Formats: sequence, structure tokens, C-alpha cells
Amino acid sequence: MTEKELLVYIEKFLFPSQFFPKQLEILPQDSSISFHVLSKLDRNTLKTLYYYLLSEDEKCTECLRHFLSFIKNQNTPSINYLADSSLERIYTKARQVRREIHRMKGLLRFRELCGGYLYAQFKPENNIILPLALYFSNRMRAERILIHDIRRNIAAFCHRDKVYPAKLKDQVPSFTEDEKIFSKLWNEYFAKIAIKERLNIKIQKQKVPLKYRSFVIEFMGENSL
Amino acid sequence: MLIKSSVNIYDKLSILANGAKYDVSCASSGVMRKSSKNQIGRTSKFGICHSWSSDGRCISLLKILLTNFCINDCAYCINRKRNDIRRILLLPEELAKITYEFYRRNYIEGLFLSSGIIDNPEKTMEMMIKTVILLRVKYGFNGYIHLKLIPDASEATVLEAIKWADRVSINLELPSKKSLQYLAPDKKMESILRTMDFVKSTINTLREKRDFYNSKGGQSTQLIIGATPDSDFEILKLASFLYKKNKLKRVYYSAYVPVNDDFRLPSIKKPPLLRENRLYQADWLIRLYGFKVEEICSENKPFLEESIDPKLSWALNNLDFFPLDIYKASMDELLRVPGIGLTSAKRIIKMRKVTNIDLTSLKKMGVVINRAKYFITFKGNSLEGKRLYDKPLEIKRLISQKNSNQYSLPYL
Repeated sequence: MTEKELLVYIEKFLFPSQFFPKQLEILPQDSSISFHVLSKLDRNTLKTLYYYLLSEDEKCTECLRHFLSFIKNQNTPSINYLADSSLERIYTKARQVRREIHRMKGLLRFRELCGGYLYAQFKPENNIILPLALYFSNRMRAERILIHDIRRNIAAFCHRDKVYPAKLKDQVPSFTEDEKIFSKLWNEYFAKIAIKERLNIKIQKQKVPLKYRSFVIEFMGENSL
Repeated sequence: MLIKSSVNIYDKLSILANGAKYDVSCASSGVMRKSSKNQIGRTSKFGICHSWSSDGRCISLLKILLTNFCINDCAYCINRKRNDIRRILLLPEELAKITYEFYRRNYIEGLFLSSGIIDNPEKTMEMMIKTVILLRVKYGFNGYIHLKLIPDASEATVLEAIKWADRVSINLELPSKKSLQYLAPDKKMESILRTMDFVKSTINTLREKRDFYNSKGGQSTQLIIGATPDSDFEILKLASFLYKKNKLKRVYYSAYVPVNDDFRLPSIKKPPLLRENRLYQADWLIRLYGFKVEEICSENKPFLEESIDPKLSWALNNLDFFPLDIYKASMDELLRVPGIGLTSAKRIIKMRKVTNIDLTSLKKMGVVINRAKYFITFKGNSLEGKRLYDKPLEIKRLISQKNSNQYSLPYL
């Protein structure tokens, strides 16, 4: 497989360019990477690399090049990520991405829009819209879902196990009447479920960092905390 | 008391959430299932937390009572018969709709349905199952459902509950027969234990079947801590017995929060959160680290130390077990070292074959060096720990200096 073919492969299967304008720029362009090298890797390592690329690390080119030259000389299948600082960086960043994905699976909040869409905004540190969209396209199969990354201004449309890149042109339609009822109901529930005698704001802050709160409806009212 | 027809849905949800909040369990774990045609929802092996309330507890499931009517009169319970509170019944259709609407907005991972007992256990349990079937069939709900079993419901009904849920649980609430008789005279320990046996064997029989949900996430239970004089030793002995005999996934410990004025209950101002925390730590040691109850506490020392965690406490009392060499120790031995957990022990075993390990790399693997350094050596080279082995109190002082417990914070 030529380098060009590899890039097509990556673009098609790993990074549809609409979601990852940045990643394609930073992929090393030299001929030292070939599909052959990548195809040798096991699933876990590929996943680590995938997550690492989602972090949009500024040292990405450097670290990847280092990584590829490293695995060329590597005989054992398992990679010691503590071996040097570039590998460690890849591993650490990938872990951060994985954790943010998991966190957003819980914290993303959808609102029902007139016209029958579920719409969620968020502002993730990493470019995680695709893995999240894939997850939600199955979780709520029949729904028409829009996920909008405000930081990068990219959006994904999910429906029946499929994800499509989307562009939001005009203003988002207004919420439905039901939306107002159920979000109010949720806020009510959220306030009531806490046991006052066990108050522990510190753990709450640790689990729901302030940077995420502006898009989580039960925290929207108390951003000052 | 009559159900007021004018009660609006906001009030209903508020009151029934308030009645359910003392139940600890909120796990949505143990079952991996994707969604298929005409369904909404999936579950994840490790569970997903969706929010955290101001008490720092995670919210994963919509935890709610079907009704707060109750024929029982348990001293510790906010919904007991003699309390003069507003009584409400949620209709199955109402609850199914709320769960569905919350779920598609990604507020929750599923439903945790409990209930007070209205008329009799059988009828209550049937109403709960009706709600769940409505949710599963009419709404095609494929998310997580945890169903609370009502004591003294018939086996046929319990079987039906197991079929539709991902996890079921029945609460023991108090760790001894005597305590149960004293505070919750309507509940019978034998009956609850019998139900647990039945649940265990039923889940086991249905394990291979794919026609229903069959509670593949197993069963759990809950114990209230500090409402009775029962010791940690008795509590842990019971928990360990249940893990072994009934294959419970979890025993939850709930620090007693005073909600009723009752002469039978201790008068405390704050719930014993630190004790609860230490019990969970001991529970983990028993379930995952290969410790025996008798190693952690005993007849002579029936309560866990509050000032340090049970693993460190064991290590300081068994210093002749240490130091252990990072390169030679087995998995089971590594797990005994304070500061080394399941993940870091696995990493050590994997990495020590391919690379040299020192304090820095141990730290990168997730080991808490400040604790572990007193108990380990590297290829025979001991660290500062060993010279202190005749002074366990000194080690304790050095370790706890840098350590504060998140559950011992002053109240805000």
C-alpha cells in the first residue's frame, strides 16, 4: 500500500475529514509510515493511537514519527509505554481522551427541538465528537440526534446506527413545550435526591468540573458555585 | 389518608425521590447490551454515571419509589406507617413516560424502582413489575433496570421481577436478627435470606436463556450502619457470608441518617460517614484483594480503626510479612502492600519482565509511593522502611501526616 493509499484508508475509516480537519494536516507525510507498519499493530495499540490523535496534541507529528520508528525496531508485541517520554506522552494523552469520552457519555444533555430533533452542545478538551456520536447513534437508534462541538464548531448527525457530518447554518430551532416540562422535572429531581446531612460539595466539584457545567442543565442555574 | 387528585407531577416526583434517596445503590454496571431494532437504550459493562448531587453521590439511575404508602413501621424509615406525611402513588404509565423522556435526554442510565408496601407485598410487587413491563414493551426500553424486591412477595412474582430486570436487590437493612426485630419488627431475616437464595438459584437457572433480561447483573443488598450496636466484625462477617453463599455483586453500607424521633434509635447529629468509608474499604479487601474477615477485624477487635484504612492497619500489625520484593512477589502478595492496588499490581507483573523498575516508574504505574515505600524492596535493596519495622507507630505517623480523608471533612 502506498502512502497515498494509506492516507485514503485513514481518512475513510478512522478520520472522516469533516470531523478531523486538524488530524489530517498533522499526520506525518514522509514515506517512513506505511500501511504495513500500522497493520502489524494489535487492536489495543491502534486504539491508543486513535485516541491520541483525537487529543490534537501540538507535538503530534513528532511523537508519531518517534512512535513509528520505535515499533519498527520492536520485536515484542506489548509496548512499554514508560520506555521514553514520547511514548509516555502518547499513552497519557490517549488515556485523557478515553476518560473524557466516558465522562461525556454521562454528562452530555440533549434538548428536544421543534421539528423533532434531540440537540446537545458541548465543549470538550479533545476532539471526541465521532466516538460519542457513534455511541449515541446506537443508544437512541430511532431518534434524530445532533451533537454540536462548540469549541471546534463541528457537528454530527446521528440516526439508526449511522453518523453523518453536519453543518448548522441558521439558528437552532426553539425547544418544545415538553422539553421545558421534563428539564424542569429533572432539575426538581436532582435537587431532591441529595441527602442534606451528607453534603459534600468537594466531591461534586471533582466529579463535575466547572468547565463542563455550562452545558449540563442541572448545573446551569448555579454556575457561580 | 387519601390520594389527592390535584397533586401535580412535580410534587409527585419530588416526594417519591425524597423517599427513595436513602437507598445507596445506583450502579448501572454488570451487563453489556447494545440496542437493536425498535428499541431505545443500551447498557455498559462498567456502568455510566450521569450526574453527581450535592452530597457527592453519583446519579446513574432514576431512583424512585412507586409509592410511599407503607404498611410497615420500621423505626429508621422516613416512610413508616406512623409518620404523618403526604402519601402518593405514581401510576405505571406516568413513571414509564418519565423514565423514557429522561433517558432520551441522557439524564439517566436507567431506572431504579423501589416502593413502600401498599396493601400487601404481593400487590406492590405486581404493580412494580407492571410498570417495568410497560417500559420494556410499550416504550421498547433497553436501558438498565434495577428492581427492589419486596420482602414476602411470592416466588412466582419474584421470578417475574428477575425476568424483566437487569439487577434485583432485597435489603437486609440490619445485620442481625436481634436488631431487625427491635427496629423493623415487620421484617423477618429468614424470609429475606430465603428470597436471596431463591434469587441466586433462579438467576443461575436462567443464565443461558436469552428470551428475557433475566437479571444478568446479579443481586445486591444494603445494610444500615450505626443505627444499632452491631459491630464491624458482625457486619463484615455477614457480608462475606452473603458474597460467598448468594454470589451477591455488592453489599452496600449506608451510614444511618436520623430522620425520625424514636427512643429505639441512637441520638447522633451526623451520620457516621468515616465508619461507612472504612467498611467499604474492608469490603473491597474481602471481595477483590483476597483478605479474610478475620484478618481485618476479629472478636477481640470488633471495630475497624477509624484513623487509618484497614489495609494499612493489617500491614502494620503484620510487619513480619514485609518487605516484599517488587521483582519476586506474587500477585497476591503485591496486593497486600499498602499503596498498590489491582491495576498497579497487574502493571508491575507485566512490566518487571521487560524493564527495570524504580520508584519513579512505580509512581507512573499508579502506585502510591508515600505508602508503598515502607513495605517494598527492589532486587533486595530495601528503602527507608525496614529500619522502622520495630516502630509501627512511627510508620503510621509518617503516612498519615500527608493523608487526609475526603469523608472526614468538616461539614460546610
